[in-house]
Amino acid sequence: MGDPQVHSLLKLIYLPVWFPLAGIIFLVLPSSVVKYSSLFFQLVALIASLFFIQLFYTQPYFSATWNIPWIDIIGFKADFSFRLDNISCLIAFIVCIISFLVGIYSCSYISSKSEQKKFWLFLLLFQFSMLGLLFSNAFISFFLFWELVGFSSFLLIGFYNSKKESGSAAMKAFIFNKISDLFLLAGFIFLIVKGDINSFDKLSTSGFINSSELSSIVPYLLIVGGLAKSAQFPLQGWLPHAMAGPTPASALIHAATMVTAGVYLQIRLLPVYSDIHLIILGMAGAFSAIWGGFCAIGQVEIKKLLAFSTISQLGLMMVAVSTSNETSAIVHLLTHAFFKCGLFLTAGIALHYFITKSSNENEQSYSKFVLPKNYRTKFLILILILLLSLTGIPFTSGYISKESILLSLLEKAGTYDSIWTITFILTLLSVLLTGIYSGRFLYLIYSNKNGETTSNFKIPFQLLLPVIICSVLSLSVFWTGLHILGELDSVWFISLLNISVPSESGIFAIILPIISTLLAVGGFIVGYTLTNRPRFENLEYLITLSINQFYIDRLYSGIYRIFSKLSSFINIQDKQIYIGFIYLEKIYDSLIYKENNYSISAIARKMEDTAGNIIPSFFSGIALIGNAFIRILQNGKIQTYLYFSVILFLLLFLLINL
Amino acid sequence: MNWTYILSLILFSTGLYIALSRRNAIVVLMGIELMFNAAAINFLISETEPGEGQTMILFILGIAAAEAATGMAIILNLFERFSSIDTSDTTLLK
Repeated sequence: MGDPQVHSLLKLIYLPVWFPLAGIIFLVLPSSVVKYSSLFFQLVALIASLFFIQLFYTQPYFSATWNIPWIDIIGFKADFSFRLDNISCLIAFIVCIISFLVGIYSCSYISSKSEQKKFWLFLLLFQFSMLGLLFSNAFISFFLFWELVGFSSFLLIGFYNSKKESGSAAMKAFIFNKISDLFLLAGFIFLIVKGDINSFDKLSTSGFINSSELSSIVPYLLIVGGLAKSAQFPLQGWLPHAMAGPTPASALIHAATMVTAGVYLQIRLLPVYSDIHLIILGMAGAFSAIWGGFCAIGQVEIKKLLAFSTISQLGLMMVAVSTSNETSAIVHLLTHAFFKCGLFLTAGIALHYFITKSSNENEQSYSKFVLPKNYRTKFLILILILLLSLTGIPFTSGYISKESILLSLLEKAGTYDSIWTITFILTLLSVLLTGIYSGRFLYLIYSNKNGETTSNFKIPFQLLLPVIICSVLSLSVFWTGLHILGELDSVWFISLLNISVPSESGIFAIILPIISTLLAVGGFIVGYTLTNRPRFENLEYLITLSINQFYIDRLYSGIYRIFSKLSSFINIQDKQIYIGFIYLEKIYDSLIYKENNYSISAIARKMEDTAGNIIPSFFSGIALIGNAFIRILQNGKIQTYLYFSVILFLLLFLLINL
Repeated sequence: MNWTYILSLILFSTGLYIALSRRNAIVVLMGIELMFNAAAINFLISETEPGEGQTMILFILGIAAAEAATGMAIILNLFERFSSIDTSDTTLLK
């Protein structure tokens, strides 16, 4: 715990979590004011997160926990506990700043008045739940916010709810996440019930690995639990479809912040994992990195290309976590947030303003975009900074993080299992793939010179500003003084080498940055020039494979189809058996009434007839009135019946109390 | 007098009013959920042992979730049959 002065400042109320929530409450204001109030609360949240960040400059290893008693049943205790430490504060800062930038962007992007309020509601709900997730300490509250994050992502994917495809994309994301969440919940329950560990901070002190009973199953459950949220290998298919949502939401949620929640979870759970689990995690990450990079190459829609690139980069983060070097994972998370957000926002501008009139509206194909003359150079600079940062060229922020990941992998590859070498090679390959698809992205957006453009063309400043900020923050100079995270404190790209170089593999550590940079640059040039040709002639089948995402989605839908066939078959069988029973009953009925030749309906008809004869005519007037009265009572609406039963209940209640 | 009873009373009467007066079946379902929550609060404030009320709340939450799922399924079927979820259109029970 810190000194009393700091501690008094660190009241729960200052946590940035609450400001988006306040913003939601202020959404009741008229819609012309709503965007200012929401932006104001986002700004306050950003300032609050900055305030917490500066604490860590004076006390690098500060951490604080607050418990709010919540559920306290005999034998089971779950607190709502918040924890503040350097990792959560740094990621909260990223969430706040990206949300703020996206907020500015969407003021202009979401133009229709009716959609604005809805969008702000979803956006602020997302920001609230994401910040809550970051600061949560207890498993139960973490899981609560985890689900809220998934839910707000679902809402934002299905934002344009009149379109069919965005609805099905939202459902797909939700189902994929649910599969994973079940595993996560099972893991948490095991930890709470069997291991008597109910929060993340107890995890690091519990000596978990030694208790063999739990460690045989729980780590696997937790690994799978984090996969879908970060779109990692077997559960990755939802992310490309999630681009059906509005572009600012894609930039915020499906590129910069929400998808990194899985990485954050794995960082928090590192004490649970032993070597074998880390190898599995690393393989899943490396495979996703390759898979995402490969699928990105074949895409012609720029947003989908970026989505696959996100899968690839998240794979890199998972690899970094698996080397138990969480610092490099967080640095990559941070740098990736800015350049990928910038790229998405650029894509949003391009899709709105740069589309040529001649091409088809719905398809973002080759050479569809034409940059207007007055923006051509400005945009080239912005996109180049962002893309070079994505590929990891020196002097950009991406270089720092990618290099530190590769170096920590190299260290692992030198010392442990030979599987780490495979992971290392796969990761290097993904660097090459990153270069190729980045080049292709530049080609798709920039290459077309001869299309119709309108001169005197103006893009709103609200759209440009966030892109500019993102690309400026993608330069490495801003992140070299990042000494919150301890070891990487003065990350200039040369001094980084001095810190992370392991003594055994010294020579490789010097060659490695050169190799990876050459790979990235080479890939970039290849990607830009080869896209020029209409098709890669000899590699046709590779491109089809890439466009179809290795047929994994087909495989899943095949499995689904088998199950639905099976269940419809069983359904038919059930129906036949059911109908058989009904007929059985009829046969039974006819057997009973056979002696006196009356069916039930015949008896009823007979009784009605006799009643009609018996009632004298002077009663018929009363009967008519009664009929009308009963008609009002018996109007077929369930609510009326419920209403009368409530009145009857109240009368009974009065009668008893008299 | 525990003032939390007032909260539960307000919740219950609001829920009852909604369930009786609204014509949209989904809103009726929401009213029923409100009444559920009022009952849950009553359990919480009238517990005799610590933890008893919370246990009941967990049960109620589970039941409410099941009820909501059933209710939504009924509403879906209603929509399939009448192509409307207005309760004044569905008067077959005369």
